[in-house]
Amino acid sequence: MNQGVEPPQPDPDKLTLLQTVGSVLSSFFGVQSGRHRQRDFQHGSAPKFIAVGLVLTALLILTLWLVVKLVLSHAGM
Amino acid sequence: MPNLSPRVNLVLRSIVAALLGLGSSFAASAADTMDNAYWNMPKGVTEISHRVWWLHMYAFWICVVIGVLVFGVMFYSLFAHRRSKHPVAATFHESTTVEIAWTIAPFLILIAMAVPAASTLIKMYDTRDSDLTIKITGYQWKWQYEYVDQGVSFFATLEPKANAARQLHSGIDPRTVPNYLHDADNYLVLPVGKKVRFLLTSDDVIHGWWVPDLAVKKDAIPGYINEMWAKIDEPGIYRGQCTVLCGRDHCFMPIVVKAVSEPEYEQWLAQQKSGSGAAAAAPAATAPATTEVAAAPAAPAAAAPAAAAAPVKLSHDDLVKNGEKIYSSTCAACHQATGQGMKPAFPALVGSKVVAGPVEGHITQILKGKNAMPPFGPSLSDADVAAVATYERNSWGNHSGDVQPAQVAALRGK
Amino acid sequence: MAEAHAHDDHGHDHSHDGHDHDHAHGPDKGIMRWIKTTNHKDLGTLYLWFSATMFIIGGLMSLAIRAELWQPGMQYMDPELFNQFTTMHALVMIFGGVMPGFVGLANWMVPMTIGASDLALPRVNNWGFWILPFAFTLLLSTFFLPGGAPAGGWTIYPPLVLQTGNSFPLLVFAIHLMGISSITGAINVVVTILNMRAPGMTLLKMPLFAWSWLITAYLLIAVMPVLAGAVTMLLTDKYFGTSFFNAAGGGDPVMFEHIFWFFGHPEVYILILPSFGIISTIIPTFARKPLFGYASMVYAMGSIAFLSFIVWAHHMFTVGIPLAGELFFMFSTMLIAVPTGVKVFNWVATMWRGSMTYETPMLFAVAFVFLFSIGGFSGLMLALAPVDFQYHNTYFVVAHFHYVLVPGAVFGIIAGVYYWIPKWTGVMYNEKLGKLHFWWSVIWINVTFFPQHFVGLAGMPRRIPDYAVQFTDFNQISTIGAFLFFIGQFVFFYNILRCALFRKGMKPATSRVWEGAYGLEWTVPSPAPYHTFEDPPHVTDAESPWAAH
Repeated sequence: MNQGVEPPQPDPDKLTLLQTVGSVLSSFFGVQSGRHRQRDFQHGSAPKFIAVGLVLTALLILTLWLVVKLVLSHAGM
Repeated sequence: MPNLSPRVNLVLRSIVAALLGLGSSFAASAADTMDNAYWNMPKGVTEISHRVWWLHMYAFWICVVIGVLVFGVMFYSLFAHRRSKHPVAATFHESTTVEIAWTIAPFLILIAMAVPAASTLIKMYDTRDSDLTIKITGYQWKWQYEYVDQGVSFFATLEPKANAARQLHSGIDPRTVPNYLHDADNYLVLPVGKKVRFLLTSDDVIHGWWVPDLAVKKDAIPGYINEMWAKIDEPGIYRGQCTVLCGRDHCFMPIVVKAVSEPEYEQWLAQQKSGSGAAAAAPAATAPATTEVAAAPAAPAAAAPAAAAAPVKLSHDDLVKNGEKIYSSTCAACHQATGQGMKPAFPALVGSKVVAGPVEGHITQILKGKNAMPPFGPSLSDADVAAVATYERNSWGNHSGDVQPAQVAALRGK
Repeated sequence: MAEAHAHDDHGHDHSHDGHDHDHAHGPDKGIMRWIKTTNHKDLGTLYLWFSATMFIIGGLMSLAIRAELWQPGMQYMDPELFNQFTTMHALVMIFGGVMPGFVGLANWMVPMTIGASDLALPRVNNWGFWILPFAFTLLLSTFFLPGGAPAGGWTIYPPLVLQTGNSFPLLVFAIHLMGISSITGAINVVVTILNMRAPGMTLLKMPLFAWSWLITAYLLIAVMPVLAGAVTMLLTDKYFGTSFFNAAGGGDPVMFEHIFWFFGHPEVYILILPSFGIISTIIPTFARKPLFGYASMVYAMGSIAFLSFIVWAHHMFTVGIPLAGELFFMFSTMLIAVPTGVKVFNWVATMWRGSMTYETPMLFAVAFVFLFSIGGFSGLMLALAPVDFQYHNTYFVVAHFHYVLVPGAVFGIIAGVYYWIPKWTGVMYNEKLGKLHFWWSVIWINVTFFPQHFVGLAGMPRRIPDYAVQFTDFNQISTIGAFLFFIGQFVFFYNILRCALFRKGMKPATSRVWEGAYGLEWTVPSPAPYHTFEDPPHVTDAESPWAAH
């Protein structure tokens, strides 16, 4: 995705999984600092972000569903 | 504004408010002085409707507070940071701390809204332990109410005065019609203090059954049975109408609930079952179960003479008289009172091949429908079909004879 | 990273292929210029005029609706014709007005803001546009067919819509065509943004309008085929004996609603995200201060787009979905308020301690922030399922979505046109008329739609041609507002036409136009030459202050 600018060489500052997850979470949250964004776009890889995004979306849905189950069991329905 | 009529007062205020874009706050402040019914959600007459109203106002005030804060800041900035007063712009463009703070704050507010909303919703879905069950079926364009296990069932359509006034160029001022479009020929009579369960379905397209005072709204969907319930606290008449676009006369499907004390309700039910009493005038019903309720004080339709439960042969005059009534409430919407129809979607009955042709074809089309015409077999009794067919065959210059209920009965199910 | 090479190839393209013959001459003369054009600026112009035409047609329908609703009783039309007007008003405004308006702005501005010479697929672009006049001729011609136009609401729920007469197949075919047009436009935007940015224009330097359109384009590609599938199933249900949605044949009418709203909810964001981008461009210019929280703005749009796929059933709270489903969709819907709130806060923070002036684009942008938020508030109220039972299908909903769409989407388009028209035509619009247009619009739009909250709460359902007498006053106010708002738009059209066609003797615009403006589009002369950025510009931080740190 981030074409052009970066020379295609191995990237020493590649994002760790945790950093990727953190960035995707902050995108869900809707807030991100410029420094991290810069880091993500310069050193992150698009397929990884997409994969983590999909997993986290599934997790979000699952979490919501669990909250619903919890509410329902609490209400005895 | 003491010297203005409430209406004018209201109009003026709303113009002022709309101009300011601040109508929301004025709605609430004026709610104290004005009848809520005209511009706010009614509080209603059930515990659930009170909770819903409370939630509505709760969410509304939260929005007002957030709005005042955010737009207060914005308008202050628009004023104080205009170029003439603030010639050099600041350069900051980021603060992760602030951004996280104003993301978490709305999140907490949302949780504060979600909790009471969820608890109310759960209560609304609890249809267990009901005292009685009403099955409601939507048709284009009327409602059928069945008192399950009581053998009482009837239809409700727009009452005739409003039906006359609502025709294009009727020349009748709707303001002269009491409860225009919110009055039906038959009321759904319910006891107060009882948990009433409604089973909602439809026979043709999707309709929506809504009575604001009961905070009950659900879609009536063919092939589905939806459940909802209400426990009405106060006797009274509560009005609503169809809320899902269901075709040409969507607007003309009123819903009227009459809540009465339990003894009154029992008495009314007994009358319905026996098929006697002035209130239970059933226009030529064949099945005893298909009695027509006329609890409505303003329902002239109920004045029609009660017919025998299982008539063998009806007179021409009775057929035509009853047929005209059914025609105007059921058929005239499309085929028009003049029988001219509205070409090309709704064919004319004047000189129609079906009307002039054999009785069988005519009856079958009424029972089963054709193209845009829905089947009326489920909603009209044999006597009703016979009456309306006779009326059509003897009006607007048509002379193709009478139809008797027995002929209809013979064709049903074929 | 193969893309790094792709870029070099792309630069290579420029010098040798494709454009040699274009260098030789400008646009064709006469009508053929517009029919054959593959130039993004020409097609942008065509899209925008098409959109304006559709806004007028759809607006006339809304006036017919408001006229009939002036008082209770049926005055001017049969209820069936009224239903045709409500149905067609929505289809024309959504698919003919707002969406082509945004695509027009994307055509003009996406290449210019990212330093590309054109869209990546210019011939597809031409095709995408020229489908639209045919689609809408088909759609609008149904008014003249026996049985009239479709009247089942723009949501085209079966079984009602299956009662439509001869116009039904035309409706389905027109929707298919609109879908093809939207998808071609969306693919073009995605390919252009991902492959044709000027050197140095990294995604994180990209202006927010391009970002908003990139996200919108993905939404379009994801959901337009869903709509196409839904209408195709309707078509086979009606003519080929299938029973997808026919309960009597074992089908399920509720399934249609699920499919429709799986398209419909992302569609709602398709109709607003590009406006977010425009507003995020305009406010920093006139506040003379970089956009606050650029990264958050991008992430919030992404978040809104993601969430838009898991909230669809909030349009169906009264359908009778199970309690668990009801709770799920209530919670997920409420979550969308968070990123939306972030955007509003960021806009306000951008204004904060700026040095603001109030030219017409800024006025519309400020009105957008304020009035869109009112629509957002009513949206939050609607998200609460138990209360939604009272709001659903009433005028409260009508007020809600018109607040989001008119002072939201449409004001966004208007603000964008005022903002960029000096760049397009080389002359300034008339500022006095612009201000007149703004104040006129902002007053009457509120007079039109604010009272609809009240009648809705008081119990007036939507899509009805006649109403109970107690709703008369607010409906009359609403009708007055609608007529006056509509008339005022001709001030806008006059102002724009003047710039476009009668610019002789008018004050020429500078290339920067607005002193606080940043972005590549302001580095080329006004009017922008027929071909811009044939040699890719060199992008510096100076044109993207939001990326500075």
